[in-house]
Amino acid sequence: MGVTQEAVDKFMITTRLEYVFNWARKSSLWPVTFGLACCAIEMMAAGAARFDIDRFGAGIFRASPRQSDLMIVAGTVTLKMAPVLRKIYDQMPEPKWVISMGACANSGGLFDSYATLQGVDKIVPVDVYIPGCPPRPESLLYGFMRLQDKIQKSSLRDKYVAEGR
Amino acid sequence: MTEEKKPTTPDKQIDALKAEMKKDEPGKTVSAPRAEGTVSAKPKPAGPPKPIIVEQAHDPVSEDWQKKILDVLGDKAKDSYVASGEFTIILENGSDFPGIMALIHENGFDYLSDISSVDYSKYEGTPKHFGLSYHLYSVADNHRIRVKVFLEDGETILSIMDVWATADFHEREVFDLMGIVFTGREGLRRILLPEDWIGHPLRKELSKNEGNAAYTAKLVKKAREDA
Repeated sequence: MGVTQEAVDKFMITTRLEYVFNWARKSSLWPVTFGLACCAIEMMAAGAARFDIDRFGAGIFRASPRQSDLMIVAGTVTLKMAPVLRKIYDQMPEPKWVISMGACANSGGLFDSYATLQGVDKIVPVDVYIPGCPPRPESLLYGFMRLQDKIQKSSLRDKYVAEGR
Repeated sequence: MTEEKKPTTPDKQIDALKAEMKKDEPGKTVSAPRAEGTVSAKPKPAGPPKPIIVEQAHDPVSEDWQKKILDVLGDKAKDSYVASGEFTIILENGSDFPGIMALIHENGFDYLSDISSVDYSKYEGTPKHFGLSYHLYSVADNHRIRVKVFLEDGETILSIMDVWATADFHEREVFDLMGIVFTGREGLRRILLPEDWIGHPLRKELSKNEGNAAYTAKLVKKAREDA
């Protein structure tokens, strides 16, 4: 009724709901401010004008985990910080992702000591690991793009299948 | 080296490199050995040598205020010297240790800057297992004294909290990280690490991540329970 084939071709796109959701999510990630060490300096540089992570839709670093869906763990995680990190992760609303930035967050890095958590993946699930000490902003951007790929490929049922719900 | 056709892919490059290295091995001629050849001919270096204590130069005690302190202490000071420009007194660990420290306190050294502890067990030629350094400061005269005491493993030392109240936190820190027990005081418990930490991390005989692994396991368990 009034919807001609011509109108369909011109004005309408059909797609999957999942695709649109993933596209929307990957294009507007809001990271929580979580700089712990020197990696945070690189993260700030990535956020500033020269590298500009805002081009990828992730430029709004929120000071509250309640308004974020991405945690970039940028730096050395001490054992005293680990429960705090977990708490902040728990406070973020679903869906949420974690980037482990730099050698320290990945594996403890050169701090093979009594005070340092040997890899942030012991405490929170990590989506993308970025190597480097510290990684340059380009590395962070690349890791971020890989995360976008992952989000775009993900399925809405992934999480629930993985957790057996 | 003659100009050859350069291998294109990384795999081919590696293969070419291997082939070149093989070529060198059987020859071992005197004429201009390649870098790779010389490296393989060298014997494997031994492990790192055991660290030794390098004594600083001990200068004699020269200044009047230093001599005055030594006169007050008499034969209670086991040894004394100036090292790196700092006046150092060696004391014996005993029941009169707080008394001797009180004597120094009465002679103007009203501030205890720091207590540091050293584990010498991995070193050659050390007097005892542990060393304690008390860093004292005289605010009025701008003088500093370093008092050293050496302890065996398991040996306790009397607290000097009655002389300098600030020793409370310093002694707790030494106990926390090195496990040296201070007697004659209240409230000797951990100050930096969590109460349920296992071991004392700065002790050399322990693997440094022993307490870390145990504590991380606890954290992970708690995170799983909360989730």
